[in-house]
Amino acid sequence: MSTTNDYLKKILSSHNLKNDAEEIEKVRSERDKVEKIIKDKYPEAKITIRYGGSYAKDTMVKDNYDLDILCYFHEDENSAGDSLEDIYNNIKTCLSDDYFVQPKRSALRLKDKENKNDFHIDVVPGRFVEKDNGDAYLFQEGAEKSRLKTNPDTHINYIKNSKLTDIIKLLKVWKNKNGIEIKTFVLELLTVKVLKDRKDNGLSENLKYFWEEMKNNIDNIAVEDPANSNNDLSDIFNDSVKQSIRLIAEIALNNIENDDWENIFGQIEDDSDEENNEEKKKRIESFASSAGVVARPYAE
Amino acid sequence: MLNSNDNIKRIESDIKDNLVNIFPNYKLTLRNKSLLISGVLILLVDNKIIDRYLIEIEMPDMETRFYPVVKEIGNKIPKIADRHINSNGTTCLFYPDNYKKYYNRKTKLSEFIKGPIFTYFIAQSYFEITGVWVFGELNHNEFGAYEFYSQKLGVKDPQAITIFLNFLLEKHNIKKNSFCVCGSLKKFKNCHYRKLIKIKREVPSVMIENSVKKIVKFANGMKDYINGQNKLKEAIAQIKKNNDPFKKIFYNENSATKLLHFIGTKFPPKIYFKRKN
Repeated sequence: MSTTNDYLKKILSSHNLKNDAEEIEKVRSERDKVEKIIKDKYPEAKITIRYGGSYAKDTMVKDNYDLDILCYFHEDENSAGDSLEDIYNNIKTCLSDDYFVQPKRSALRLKDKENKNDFHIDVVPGRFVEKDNGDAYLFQEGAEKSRLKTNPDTHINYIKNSKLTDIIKLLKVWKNKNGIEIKTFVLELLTVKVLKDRKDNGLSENLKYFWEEMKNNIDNIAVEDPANSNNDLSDIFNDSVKQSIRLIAEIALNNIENDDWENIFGQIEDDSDEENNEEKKKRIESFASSAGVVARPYAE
Repeated sequence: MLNSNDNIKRIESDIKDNLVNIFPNYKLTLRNKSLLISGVLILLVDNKIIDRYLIEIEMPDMETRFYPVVKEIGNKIPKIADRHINSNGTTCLFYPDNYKKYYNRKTKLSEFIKGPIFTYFIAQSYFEITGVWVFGELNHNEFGAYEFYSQKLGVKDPQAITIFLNFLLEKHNIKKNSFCVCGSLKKFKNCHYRKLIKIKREVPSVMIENSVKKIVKFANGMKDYINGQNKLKEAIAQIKKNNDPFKKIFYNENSATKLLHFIGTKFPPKIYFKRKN
């Protein structure tokens, strides 16, 4: 199995986003800009602005990276409004002069104002419940409960201390290569839940075990938010998501049976095939111009 | 037989021989007598990967389903009509009555994947980036049915289209030597007759029947819309003329629409105003 593990390590390193990578430098400079905009708008306010998400957890991969910027107002701070919804909307307004802001459930996605190019940055406004222990509340737009309790430190430590970050990165690559959409947060929790007692095994053994569990037991696996046991994740880890994961896990196991790991993760360095949105757009336009008469989609 | 071993082997070798680069990971299953092919479609253009989608293809039985039904099962595309996808993930690749252009008994699955499935997902990825449908789109539901047949027959009047389609269903007789319903002043046999016979050969009656229902609904909706517009104009004119004390409240289109509802006129669904690219 050592050759398979060597291959997986090479895959990991080819998808790894190092701290000095060009992509990271770009988002980091954008982060400084975001921080300045917010602090200029609320110069006297007590705000903590820091990194969260996969950057802080060290589970970033090249194919699909986002930088979460947490923007938490302190518990007694109301310069951006009294309610969580006020904070969310005021931060959105404040960033809208410089960015095209796409609202997500609890975060604000930043894109270029002119060409809508994605900066891969999510700003997450919120308010500390108690700054000392890190507990915070977020606004949830359009959700049944408009307030969500969270704790970024608990999330970060839970994943970082799991010693499973390499497997998580590989599973993120696998998820992207199979064209499925599952919240990274859920995939991370799922990985830790399934593999927490198998940290010392090799990458290939653990991947195989994970996929076997997905194929045979996914319906019986529940994931819990370590920072908030009341956070119901069943709507983002629903039957349709489970069905997709079960299917691609089965396909991955078939590939393993044929000893064809390249069919799962591709060739080393083949991620250079991936392009940014502007290049993709041009390529599709060129394809469309030579495609002739093509079916136009309809809807019932 | 759809589910016979021979057929399954034929499909497998077709995929292996013709789709190795764009559909390398797949699985064949039988579910409720249906043959399903699930796998990852790689949108490879000029050796560059544009995107990946997890899809499920249900093969047609050619009795109740005449072409493969394709679902996006990776949850990448929001399941809303504006994305040309149903809430259960079924994609709307083309107007159903047009299926023979893309699929018949002799069509290989690989041709169907490389054709309308591939371009549908290319269009989805382009829409995700730009908000524009790169190959254009048909409107939804009744409007889409009207739009499809209107373009196919080169006729704008929904009533004329309905008469033509009812002729195909033998519910309306048009004599070959009478003037054509389209208003061209040509004889029917020298105008739309041949086009209609071609449609009859291509489209099963059950589909035409379904389209007629939609086009009638569309025409009724348009009637309501035109009546509504006229009533709206009259109502606004009346308010202006009488210097009505409610003028300030109703003197804008939104309030006037509310007024229109108030006086009991149906307003057409928003779908009729859908922007076309």
